[in-house]
Amino acid sequence: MIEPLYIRPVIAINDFLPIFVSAAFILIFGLFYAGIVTMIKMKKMKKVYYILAYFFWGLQIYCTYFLTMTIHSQPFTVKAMIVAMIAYLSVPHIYFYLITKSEQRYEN
Amino acid sequence: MQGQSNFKYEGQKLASWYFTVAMILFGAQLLLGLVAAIQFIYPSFLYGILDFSIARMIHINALVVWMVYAMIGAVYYLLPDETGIEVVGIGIAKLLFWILTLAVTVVVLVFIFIQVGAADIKTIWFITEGREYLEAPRWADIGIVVVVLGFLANTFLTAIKGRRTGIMTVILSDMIALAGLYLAGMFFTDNISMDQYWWWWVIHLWVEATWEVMVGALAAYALIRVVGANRKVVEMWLWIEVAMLFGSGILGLGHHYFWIGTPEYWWEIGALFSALEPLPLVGMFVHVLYDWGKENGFKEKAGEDTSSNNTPALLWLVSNGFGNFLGAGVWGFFHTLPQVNIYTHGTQFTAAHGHLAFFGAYATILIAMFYMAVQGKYGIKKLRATFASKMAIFLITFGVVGMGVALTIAGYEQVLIARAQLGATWDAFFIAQNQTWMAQAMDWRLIMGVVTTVGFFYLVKDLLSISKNPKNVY
Amino acid sequence: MAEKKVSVWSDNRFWQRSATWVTGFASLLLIWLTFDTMGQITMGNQKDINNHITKRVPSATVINYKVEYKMNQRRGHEVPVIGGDDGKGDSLFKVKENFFGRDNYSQKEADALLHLGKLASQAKNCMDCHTLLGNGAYYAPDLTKAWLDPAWQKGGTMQAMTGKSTKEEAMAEFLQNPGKYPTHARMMPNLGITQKEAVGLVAFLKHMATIDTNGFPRGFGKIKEGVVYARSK
Ligand code: HEM
Ligand code: HEM
Ligand SMILES: [Fe+2]
Repeated sequence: MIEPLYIRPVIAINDFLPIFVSAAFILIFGLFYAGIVTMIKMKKMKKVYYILAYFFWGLQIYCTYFLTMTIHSQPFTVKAMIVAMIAYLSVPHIYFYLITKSEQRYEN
Repeated sequence: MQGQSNFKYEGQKLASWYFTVAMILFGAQLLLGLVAAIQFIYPSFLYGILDFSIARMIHINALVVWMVYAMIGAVYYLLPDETGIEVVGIGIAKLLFWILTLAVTVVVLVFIFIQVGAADIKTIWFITEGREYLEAPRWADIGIVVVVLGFLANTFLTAIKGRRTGIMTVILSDMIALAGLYLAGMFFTDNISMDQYWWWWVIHLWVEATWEVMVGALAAYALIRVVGANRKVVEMWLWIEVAMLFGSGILGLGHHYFWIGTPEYWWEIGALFSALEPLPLVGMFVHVLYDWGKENGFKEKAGEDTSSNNTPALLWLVSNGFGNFLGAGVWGFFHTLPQVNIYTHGTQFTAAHGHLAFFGAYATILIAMFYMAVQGKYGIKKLRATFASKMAIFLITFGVVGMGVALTIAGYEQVLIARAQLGATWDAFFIAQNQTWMAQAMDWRLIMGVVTTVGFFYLVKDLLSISKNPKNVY
Repeated sequence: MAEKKVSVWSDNRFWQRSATWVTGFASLLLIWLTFDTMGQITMGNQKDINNHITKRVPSATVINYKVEYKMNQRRGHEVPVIGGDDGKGDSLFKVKENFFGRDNYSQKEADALLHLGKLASQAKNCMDCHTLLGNGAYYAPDLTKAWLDPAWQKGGTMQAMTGKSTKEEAMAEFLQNPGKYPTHARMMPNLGITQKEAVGLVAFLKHMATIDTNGFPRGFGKIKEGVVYARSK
């Protein structure tokens, strides 16, 4: 087996706190995003709040970008994070699409 | 206890036995956790009598065992409900309960009084296996497997004979996987890398795959029972959750194979799949929120009372949605990328995550099951939260989150000093341990541990007396 | 009931099948990777050393060799170096080192020592205070590279305290009487470790230090020595 070349720069001491904070906020903003989409689907919030939801998704992307850069990711980790963010964007929508379908089918 | 048992089925009565032992072990877990936490601050406390290693070992083994007890209990509880019939072979099921409880008692007594043995395979068979979480000696492992096989047989035969539901199908297949995985931890090898490789099969594939699916199934059952959600919709969602949980969790195992001697490709696999692991947790959270809101909407329209028929269970269920996301999701994601994990691996960060995740993902929903059993036992139509219910959930949650925060601060300090700056040596370790931040974090962990324990006593009191709450009597 | 137009997306059976396929696929991938990993982490033997083959988990006979942990330019992180390095950070498998006065342990002897040591590590619950390969408890230092710890080397605090002249003897002495050599208010308890078990444990620790952990712990021993202050309370 050919051994691949891995270069892993050391993380600067002052970067640790921002790294942990941004990692936490990736998911916290993600929760806001999913939560707001849910509230809209439940008709507890008006549709205009989608703007707010996508704003949180945008913040999530920013935190992810920040995290991936500050830890000096390899190209693969960058791709993994892109996949995760796309999954984040789409999962609530897929979920409610399916829920509506199944409710049409099984209820009323 | 007051009142007569109203359980419709013997299986549910057996479930309440399992729950009772689970609560006792939960108490033991907290007690030994306090001992270990005190030793962090006053190392001479019980030194040479009940050393940290023994206290910690009982702390985490009691944790795993009480949760397994509660899960078995939960299955026996919902089995007759789901299938519509009594548990098949209930006599044997009860016998197995006593055998298991006896075995657990013997193991704990040996842990406390014998503690360690000679470097001989006999020690592995009869005293301790010495692998974190899997310390139970080999004889007990075999006993556990036999009992679990019996339990599986009971459930299987009942499920085949009775009504077949999606929830039961998920639980059954999950239980088989869960029991099968235990076998991966039952061998001895001189090769520590090999040892750790298979050790994680048990630990990770339990808590991040099979147990999570179990939680999904229990939440589905609770949503139907407590909130009145539509079964078909809930079951469909359950299958999607299974796909997402197993799809990310099985290969997410890679995040434990960064540094144990295993090849580099696990970096990529572990990073990708474990970065996806929080997604189903978000999904579960959204799901609980949505179903709860929707059913309330229906009731409002119909002019019905919108309060749930079991408020304490519902409160714990909602805290499960949050806690799972926070403890497993946020705190898991914190340290799951290899670039970060090389610094955090094996620090107090890990302990912070361990506490928040086990509590948020499992303790919460299992406590919800305890409340459902209390409701079933006394045939209470609407179980309302008492003062003690509220104190219990508030103090326990506040305490565990407080411990999590303290440990996170400790972990951060350890990462900076012992890992990034000093390079993880013996001296580096103790220099970091001596820092004020670390010392104070350990003080706060103990204080918050005491808060948790007080909450636990409220929980015990409430479970024993909530049926007497005048508001619950008709 | 009139048949409504139904979509496959709301079909429980469809999702049940999907869940089964996803699980099956992930499991198969895991099993396949497991086979590959098993091949790569199987313990080597003296023949590998003679042939200069670097194994991720090398032969137990590494106890006959000098062991270091050095930056490897090709890998971009530290790796264990056995028997001296070839200038590029790879093992030369040449330079020997005495282990309790000998450097000629046979495969059988070395295997037996490692076996004893690994058993002892479990029988004494080491993992419930320390971490091994970073897994375990966080009450005491990580043991992954303990063999290479500056504290145990000549002039190191631990070696000096035990009054022994080699690190293996110092470590064995400490393991048998940990209460006699405290470095911190937090002392290791006396676990009834015998002389033989201690030798086995030291062999186990030396062997563990030679496992290729992809650079964990990073920058091990950046500082050679530090002063440890006992916490006064
Ligand atoms: C309910 C689910 C979970 C539970 C109960 C749980 C529990 C634990 C525990 C107890 C440990 C420490 C094991 C030890 O003693 O060495 C651990 C380690 C770890 N967990 Fe989780 N976990 C959960 C979910 C997750 C998730 C979803 C992720 C990632 C997104 C994650 C990432 C990690 C990582 C990276 C480690 C290794 C820490 C280290 O290197 O020291 N966990 N988990
Ligand atoms: C009275 C409250 C508690 C106290 C004082 C306490 C204390 C401790 C201590 C001192 C440790 C050893 C950590 C180390 O090795 O450095 C520990 C480990 C652990 N405790 Fe607790 N604990 C408490 C409650 C809980 C609860 C409620 C849970 C989960 C539901 C829990 C789960 C764990 C786990 C999973 C570990 C192993 C962590 C790891 O290996 O990463 N504990 N606890
Ligand atoms: Fe994991």
